[in-house]
Amino acid sequence: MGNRYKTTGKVFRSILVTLPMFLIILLFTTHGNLAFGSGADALAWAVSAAFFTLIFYLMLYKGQTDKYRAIAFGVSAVLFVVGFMNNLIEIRGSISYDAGNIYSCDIPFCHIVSTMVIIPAAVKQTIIFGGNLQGGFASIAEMLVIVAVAALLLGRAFCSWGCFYGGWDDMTSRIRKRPIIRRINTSFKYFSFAMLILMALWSAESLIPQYCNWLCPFKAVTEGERIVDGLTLAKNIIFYTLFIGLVVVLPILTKKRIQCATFCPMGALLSLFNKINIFVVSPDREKCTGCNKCVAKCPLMAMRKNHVPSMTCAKCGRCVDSCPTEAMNFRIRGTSAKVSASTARTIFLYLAFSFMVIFLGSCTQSGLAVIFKLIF
Amino acid sequence: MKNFVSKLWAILSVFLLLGSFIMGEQLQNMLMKAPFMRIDPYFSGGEVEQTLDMGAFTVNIHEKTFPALIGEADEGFRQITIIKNDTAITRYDIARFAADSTTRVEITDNTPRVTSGGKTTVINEVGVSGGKLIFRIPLTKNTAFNP
Repeated sequence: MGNRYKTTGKVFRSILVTLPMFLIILLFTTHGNLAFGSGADALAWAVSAAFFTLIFYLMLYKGQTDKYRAIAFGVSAVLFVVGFMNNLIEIRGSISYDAGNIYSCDIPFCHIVSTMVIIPAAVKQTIIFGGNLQGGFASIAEMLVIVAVAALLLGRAFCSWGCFYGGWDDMTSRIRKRPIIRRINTSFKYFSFAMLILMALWSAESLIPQYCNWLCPFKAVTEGERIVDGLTLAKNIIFYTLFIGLVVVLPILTKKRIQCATFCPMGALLSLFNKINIFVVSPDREKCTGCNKCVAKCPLMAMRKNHVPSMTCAKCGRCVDSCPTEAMNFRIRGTSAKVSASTARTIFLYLAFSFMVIFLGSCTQSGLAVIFKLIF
Repeated sequence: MKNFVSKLWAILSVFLLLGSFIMGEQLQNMLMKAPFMRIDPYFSGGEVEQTLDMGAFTVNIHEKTFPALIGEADEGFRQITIIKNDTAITRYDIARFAADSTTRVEITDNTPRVTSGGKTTVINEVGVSGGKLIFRIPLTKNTAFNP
């Protein structure tokens, strides 16, 4: 009887805490306008709103963060690609771009480009990207505002809660139950900082965002350069090879998010902002038994041997979920261990999940709408 | 006290996030006032120096551009953008026009030919996008045209 009351209480509490999130989902996915263009659009909105609400409720009710975050994150990443490609076909009739699109400044601006525009913006006071400054799809101003907000409020948590690319290797790193390659030098994570410095300098010197030009694995699933000669063929081979290697094969073999952990310059930049972020993941020393599960499970190789996450922690919550003694928890920086871990977690979930819903919600909706239009 | 301030900041950050998305357009407008918010001429082609109305086409002749991180590079280009005034037109064929005092341009069958100093060269770097044909005449600092 007592257990039944306890469960009912937990359900009630979870619903109560989910309600404001439901309102946030309603507000930001409809923009206060429930007039949809078609039945498929309305259905896509309803399904995506129900999906995000259910995920948030389950996170609260089950007390597991990473498990449900990963579902929403992975689904959003795949649907983003569907919606993005469809959008490009509608706007320009093709998912590939060429010099004409670059010189016409109609390339969508992606958050990773931010790392490469910083030096020219400071030195030359120009943005080295062939995109729309404001207005239209993924404009430079829109994305820079989102990146600034994400950096200041989420830090590297953006990589686990907002990045539509991160969802891909987050998904592939979960395909196998156990890793085939077990021993990985965790120092590889610092390669992303080398990438950040290299890409920022190379791009500034050449006035071309070189990561996008040569190395972005996600060109394989978003927009690749149209193959018109040997050079563009070589670039496409590099894009697809990096995607298959860093986003598919290595994450499957290692159960680590190899692309995000070792290669992405944006991840490195956001890691620097982790230093000023109000939320941290840290262990309760009294409860920690030193079992090292958190070290082994961390997909970004961010966990140090003393069980304190390094600055590259993306706050995915895998260590929190996998800790057998519940020692690992989300905490608010500057508060004593006495401040309830569940309060800190709930506030963090509100912040991170709201970002996910607002930033990825529309991609999820448009991706779903494309699929529904194909089906019905 | 420290506990209270930290908790307050954590809660405030949720509202800051929501507020920043609600005020997204205003924040973008503020950002647009920043001096660095302009596309580098390497991509935009630089300011339009002259516009020619050629009936079926409008020709934008951009200023000479020598993009470099600091100062100007030795090599640059002048971008010419041809915009179709009639979407039914399938081919870019334009009578000869002057890009500047020493360089003349002629476009036949989507192919721009540049004549400068008695020499005619076909320009290869061409982009076609949304009813626009874009090409760039290569230049060096001391010559009008660098074929």
